Amino acid sequence: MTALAVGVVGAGWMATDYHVPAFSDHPRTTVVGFAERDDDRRDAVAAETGLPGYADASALVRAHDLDVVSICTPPSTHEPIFLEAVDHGCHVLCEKPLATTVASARRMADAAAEAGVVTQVGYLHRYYENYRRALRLLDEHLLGDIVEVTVAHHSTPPTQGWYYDPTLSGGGVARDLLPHSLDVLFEVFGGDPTVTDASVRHLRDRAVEDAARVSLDFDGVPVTLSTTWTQTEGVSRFMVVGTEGWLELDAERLEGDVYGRPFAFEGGRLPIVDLGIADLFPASDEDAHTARIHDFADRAAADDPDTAAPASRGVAVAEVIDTAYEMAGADWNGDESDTDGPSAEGRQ
Amino acid sequence: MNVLVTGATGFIGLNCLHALDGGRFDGEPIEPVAMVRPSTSTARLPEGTETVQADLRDPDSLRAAMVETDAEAVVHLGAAVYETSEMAGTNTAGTENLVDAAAAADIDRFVFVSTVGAHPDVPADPGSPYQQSKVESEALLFGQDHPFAVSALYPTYIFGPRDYRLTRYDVVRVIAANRVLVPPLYTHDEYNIVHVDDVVDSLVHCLTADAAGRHLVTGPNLANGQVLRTIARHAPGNCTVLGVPYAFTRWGIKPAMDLLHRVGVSPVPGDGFLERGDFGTVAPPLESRAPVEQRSWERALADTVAWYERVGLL
Repeated sequence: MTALAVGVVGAGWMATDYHVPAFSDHPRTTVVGFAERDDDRRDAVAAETGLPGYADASALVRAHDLDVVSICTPPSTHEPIFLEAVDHGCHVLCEKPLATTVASARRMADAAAEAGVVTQVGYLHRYYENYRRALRLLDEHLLGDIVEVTVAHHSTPPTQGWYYDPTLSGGGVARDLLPHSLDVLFEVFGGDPTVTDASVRHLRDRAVEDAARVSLDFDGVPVTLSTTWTQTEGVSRFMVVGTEGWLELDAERLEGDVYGRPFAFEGGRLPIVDLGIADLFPASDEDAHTARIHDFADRAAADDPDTAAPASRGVAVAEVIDTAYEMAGADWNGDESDTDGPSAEGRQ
Repeated sequence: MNVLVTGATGFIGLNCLHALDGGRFDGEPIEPVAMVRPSTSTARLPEGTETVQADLRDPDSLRAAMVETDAEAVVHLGAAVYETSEMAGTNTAGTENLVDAAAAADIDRFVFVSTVGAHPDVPADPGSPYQQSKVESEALLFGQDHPFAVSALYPTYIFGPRDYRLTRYDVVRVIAANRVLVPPLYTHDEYNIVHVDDVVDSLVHCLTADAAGRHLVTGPNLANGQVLRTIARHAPGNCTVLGVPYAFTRWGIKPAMDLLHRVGVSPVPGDGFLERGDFGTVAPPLESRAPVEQRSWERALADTVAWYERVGLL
């Protein structure tokens, strides 16, 4: 069986630490080349990996008969690379956010649907074992009816400069971090949420917001998300309250209670010793990045477009973030206005 | 046969409705209608299940439900099992309301699921408000001149899938969460276990056969070790259940835990290690009784473990 030829666009840490190794390890894919705009970086990665490097995606696509294009570049570059890949009939794994606006995301999703290629946006959370387990518990209605969801995703400031240039990033921390949690929320609830409130703040005098709050309504269930870029040590927690119990999780630990019966997992696993007064969990070598890339590779190899988060999911996520920015008065495609003022409420 | 089912979203009710939905039974078709309160979630019911809104505490709503569903039989599973303050209103008065509504609707059969301690041949636990409420319901059903046939089931300790209240989770999880079983599991608990599907089959038997009267649904009496080792065979984690002599627990573990408690390491003393639990045991002549062919108690445990694993709790 011939392995799918993969071209990786962008040679930053996400590409070299995860995409290239993961596609190389997968039995149905092989990396044949990469594209990187920066000459020094391109030479260094070529020397390190032994792969041919090209100055841009077009050169990479022209040089190889690619089956898969993996996009690891800043958000503003996603659309032209994505469309060119799709035009060549390639399956596409694109890092999040899919696009800097919902209009751009929609053009990408439409092109992929028309070409019949397999796409996936690089949302991470659902690939942690704790999240997989939580999604099963919720899918089985273990908590009863969901009453509310609270998401807190707070991270260290990004080190790469493009994150702070809205023409490249499409926004600040909301555009960067909320897609992971929104993907999980769409998985839990489905459907279209209403953005009921949104606000952004600039805590560190950046050109884009580094703190944001968004309130959603998923068919009557209130969901609150808050996110910052100001931490020394990050945290990403997800709490779901139901009529019969609750659960709270991050990548390391999942715990909850149903009718007074507690449960707890670490890395998706039960303890190996639980004495009641103390417990011991098995060591975890979980690698969610590799898991998501391999999952996409499985689907691409099977020519199965029903991936965990196809480009259409990227459209739904972009709709929420665009609406939140609009409601908060942050127009990253134009001028920002009054982002510290009171937020509007009740707008769709 | 149109059957109004109370307690449809509970442990037995959900298994009953899923079994009927799955077509496990031959003979006269049974068309269940789930009676639910307005606030009850129906998300766990089989897709397409017919529902009617009513409340055991509201006689008018019950009479309306009987008419609306054109009920020919009632399966009465609804009860407050854990909320002591609601037992009188829901279990005793609620049963009386339902019996009255059933009589007014001229139904043919009334099937009631009680508990083993409410059976006349089994001594009731005077300290259990739940059992007492079920005993009081007995008087409403038997020794009365009803215009319908009455059947009652008396199951012991039920295991099986769809235990959404996680009533059996503690005993399963503690095995799955230990490679070697540790205290406080070496107590002298005893069990009498039946499969929830045996209760469901018995219900259907009472609806479709000439089965008026009382029916025990019991398994064999089991020692703690038998139950724990069987769970360990099916649960993830390859737990080894060690047989620790009771004397070691009494004179070794308990004093050690008392000491740890005194120095502040353990939040509780060792008294719990000497408690004896009885989960539905019956006198030997009453073991392994049911109006239908029964599944094994081992399968009841295996199916329980499999369900907890499937939904993500193990």
